[in-house]
Amino acid sequence: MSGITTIHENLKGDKAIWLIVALLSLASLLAVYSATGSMAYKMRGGDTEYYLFQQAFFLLAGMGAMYGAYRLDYMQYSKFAPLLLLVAGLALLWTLGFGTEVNEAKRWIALPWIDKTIQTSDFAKPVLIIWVARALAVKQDYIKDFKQAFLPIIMPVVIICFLIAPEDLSTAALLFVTCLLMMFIGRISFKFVFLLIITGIIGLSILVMIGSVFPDLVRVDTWISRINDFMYNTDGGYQLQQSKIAIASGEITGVGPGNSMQRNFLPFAYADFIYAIIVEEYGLIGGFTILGLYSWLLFRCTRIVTRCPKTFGAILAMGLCLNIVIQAFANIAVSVQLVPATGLTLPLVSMGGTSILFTCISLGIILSVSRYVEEAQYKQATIEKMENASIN
Amino acid sequence: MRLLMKKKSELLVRLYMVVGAFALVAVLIFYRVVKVNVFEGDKWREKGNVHVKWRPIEADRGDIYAMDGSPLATSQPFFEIRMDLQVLKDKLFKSKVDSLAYRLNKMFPAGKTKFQWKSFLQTQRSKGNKYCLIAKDLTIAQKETVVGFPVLRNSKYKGGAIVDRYFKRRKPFRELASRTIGVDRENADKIGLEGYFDKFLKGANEKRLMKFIPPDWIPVYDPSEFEPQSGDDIYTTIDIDIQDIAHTELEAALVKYEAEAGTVVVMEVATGAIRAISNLSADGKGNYREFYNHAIGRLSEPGSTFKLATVLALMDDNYAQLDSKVDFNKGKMKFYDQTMYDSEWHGIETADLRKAFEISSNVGIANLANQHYNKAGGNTNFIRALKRFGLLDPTGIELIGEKHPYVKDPVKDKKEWFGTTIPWMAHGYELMFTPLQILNLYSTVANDGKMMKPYLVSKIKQGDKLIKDFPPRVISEKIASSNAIQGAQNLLEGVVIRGTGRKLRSEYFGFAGKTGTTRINYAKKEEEKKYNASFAGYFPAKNPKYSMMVVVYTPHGKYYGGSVAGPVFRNVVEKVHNLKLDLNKAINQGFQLVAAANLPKRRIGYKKDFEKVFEYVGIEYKNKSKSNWVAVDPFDNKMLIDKKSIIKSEVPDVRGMGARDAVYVLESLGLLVELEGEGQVRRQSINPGANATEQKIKIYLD
Repeated sequence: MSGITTIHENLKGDKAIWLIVALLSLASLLAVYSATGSMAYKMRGGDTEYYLFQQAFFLLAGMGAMYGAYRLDYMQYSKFAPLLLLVAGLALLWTLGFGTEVNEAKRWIALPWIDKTIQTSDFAKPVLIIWVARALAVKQDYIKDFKQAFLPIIMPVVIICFLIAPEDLSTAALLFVTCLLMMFIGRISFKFVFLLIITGIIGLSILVMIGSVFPDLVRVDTWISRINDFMYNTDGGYQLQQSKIAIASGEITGVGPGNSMQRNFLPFAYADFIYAIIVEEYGLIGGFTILGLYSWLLFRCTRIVTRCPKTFGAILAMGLCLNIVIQAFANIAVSVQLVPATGLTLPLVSMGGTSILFTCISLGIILSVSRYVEEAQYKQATIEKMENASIN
Repeated sequence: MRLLMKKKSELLVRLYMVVGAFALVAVLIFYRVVKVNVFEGDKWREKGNVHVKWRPIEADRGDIYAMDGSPLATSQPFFEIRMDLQVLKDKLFKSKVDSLAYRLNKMFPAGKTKFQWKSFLQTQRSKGNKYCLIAKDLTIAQKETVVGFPVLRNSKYKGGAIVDRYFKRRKPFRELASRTIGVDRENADKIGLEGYFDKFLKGANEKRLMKFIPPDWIPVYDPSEFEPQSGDDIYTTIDIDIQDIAHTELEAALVKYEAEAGTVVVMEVATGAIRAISNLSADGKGNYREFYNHAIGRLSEPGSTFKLATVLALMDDNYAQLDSKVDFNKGKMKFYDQTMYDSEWHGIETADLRKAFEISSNVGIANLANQHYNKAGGNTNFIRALKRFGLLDPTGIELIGEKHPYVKDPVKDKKEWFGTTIPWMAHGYELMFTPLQILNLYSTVANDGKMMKPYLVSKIKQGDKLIKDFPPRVISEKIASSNAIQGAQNLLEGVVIRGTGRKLRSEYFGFAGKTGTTRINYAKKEEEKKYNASFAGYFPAKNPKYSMMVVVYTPHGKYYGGSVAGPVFRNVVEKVHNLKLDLNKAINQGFQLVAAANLPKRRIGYKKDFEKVFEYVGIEYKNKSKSNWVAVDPFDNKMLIDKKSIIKSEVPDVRGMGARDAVYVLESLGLLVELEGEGQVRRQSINPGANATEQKIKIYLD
């Protein structure tokens, strides 16, 4: 009993979010174990638990990082935001120049002190979101102003996204949209938001133009073929067809854990198409549950925002949450051919190291905000109680 | 405060707009999931219903080696290259198809022309072939070349190259011991050592998921990612030199007597290690091939070679000595309702056991056995003696299909036990053995009564790591009294000195043995008489090193063991004697044989062979090479051994080599060799330096 009490005391903040994280981690372990069955079989000499243990390790490390991020007063993030943004920008530049190539995309840098690579954009995402939330909060009094508010905020956003885009357009677009939504919620003038959308389109066009002149610099080839596939192939290309076969095979209740057949046919079943494998094994019920968990996360964050007395906290929590949820929706939408293939993973569920780590840190920051909200509400309630008492 | 409230409410309104939009998106996504899962469900499930199967991917099968480490059976990897023509981008395909077609045509000049290749690739691409065959049966080097071609050199997702590996089993020494080495057959039981040691040789197979996309099964994953555990290597006791001699001599005799089949087994007396095992059968076209393992799988009545067991039993049971009086009855005698004859007329009335054995008198031996064993309890004693001699059990050789000896039991087989049974058993009828089982008795007598288990495999290794060791195994420390064993040795020597084997005698080397001539179709009186001729024995007569059994099944012309099988035995003994220097140190000790002789001409061959010869003959030589294949030249009163390197992809110069070496070298490069003549290679049908691909080459010897 005392153990549970201790957990209860230490884990303040939104209990529902803690629960969502736990459920998604469980889903991750089950799905990764299934999806990597045949990969482990051939790459690891039949050691089918290899990837399971690896994923479990990442999730545990993620939880640790999440707890750390949660314990830190969220206002601290505001303080370090400018410095972190500078580091992220330099790291992205470095990656473009000297990064390690994995699956034909240069998104990684090797960390010298541990024998691992990290995906730089995973780090840049929360950093930029923190910085945008801070900037929006600071400039609330003159937020409708173009020169004083809009321009100083949008410039770093465009720069960071532009640095990510050549090798990973989807992530850049997602981050850009997240920032755009944050600015929208943060009361930036409507007309500037439209301007932003147009900026995005112009930026993309410039990239495509660079790409067609220097094909080695930007992966325009891949984008065009993906969009072509989406536009003109109603059944989808090979991957999409396999994904749909997986989703259809699951029917209502699924073929059962570990029984997926499509994992053998779906490239990157453990990453891009893990949702299809989940539906195959756990049916529509499983698919609904996963989608529901992300929607619930969005709902809980909205709840935090409505109760948060401070603008920075509110926008920060919303930004981080939106980034996760958009990515989740985008990943799932790809499996059912609602959007072109993006290469985005399902946050927290897909196999991966840095992605899990930084998703967990984001969730930790959200929880830190929610803890503050709870404490503030508790104080408020106490004050009201005392006031009522004194009146009586 | 009002201002703050206003700001907050604006923020919240915008927030609710965003969240509302997300709720809509969530609903839309889930609608799509339901659409695929339910509304379009049947269509997708139908599409997903491809035929899938797991196909085993064979591991690199282990090799089988002779005693000296030369490979008897080895797996060579071959490669098949296919192309997934669907993954290719238009740009890549269009710009490179010409150069790819050009290179393919240059690589395989006998195949398609450049234009045929181009149009073939274009057609297959337009058909959407994801598994288009480009080339098969490629060696490693050829495969490396082809995957370096334009298009194919790109990564598999861009260039579409699919490389499949498989193995072909080769026997570099071809027919030599080939039945014993065995066959690794895919759809039938494996035979020989390949079968017996299959679980070691085969390694750990992997499985690969294949799906059926008409008309081909194609791998779901890239096959090159598989690396199955390769098999263990088997090291046999076969001495390739002795094997070669046994094979050659047996073949010559079979051809000469137009025999149905024959077998020669040579065993090391002290250990039971089988040094040679040759099994030849007529193929109906005038050639003899290794079709069946007679030595272990063919049961037949042994005839006179079995008399060794009878006299050994008589002496061990103290019923007789070498000089015991034996009634010969002039070579003809009636036992109950059957008359027994000696095979050659001699007119002797009585003599001793020695004489009976040396001239192989059926009547004499049968009489003695009849006297002591053909009575209540006596017959059991005889069977018990055979049990002691190991003749009631198979030898346990590591081959599938060894036959169990057939020997009647006076109690269990009462209905088939007659008064004539003991006399007929005594001279090798009414019981059946394999040649190896009879040989083991002779070997045991040579080994002073200590019975060893015959064995073919000494070690199993995985690379350099020893997996299993098979030391010699003793079956029985002593099968009979020293007196009886000495007596038996004495008798076997006498056969060659004075008896049925006296014509085989040589002044230079001694051996001991017993002839056997078995009438095989005695029950069918109307047929032409058929015989098996055999000779079992050991050599040298004193301190024997090897034992040997020769059987020639249904020879034509001559049929006596002494004149058909005996010469084979003698010739093998002579050649092995000359080859194995340790057998005859006494002969050339102390004086130089060819001090002033002319040095021989240039020859090419296996280095160790030359060194052995030069050392034996006493010619000085200078060794300049570390490689196995060398050329030797006369130089300044010495023989100069220089390297004769063999380039893997070129036809080597085999002129000057012996047939065995030449065939080995050529076949190990993947050439198919046809021989003409005997002696040294004079001419070869493909010139040295030509490209060595899988083709036929004829070599002319004289």
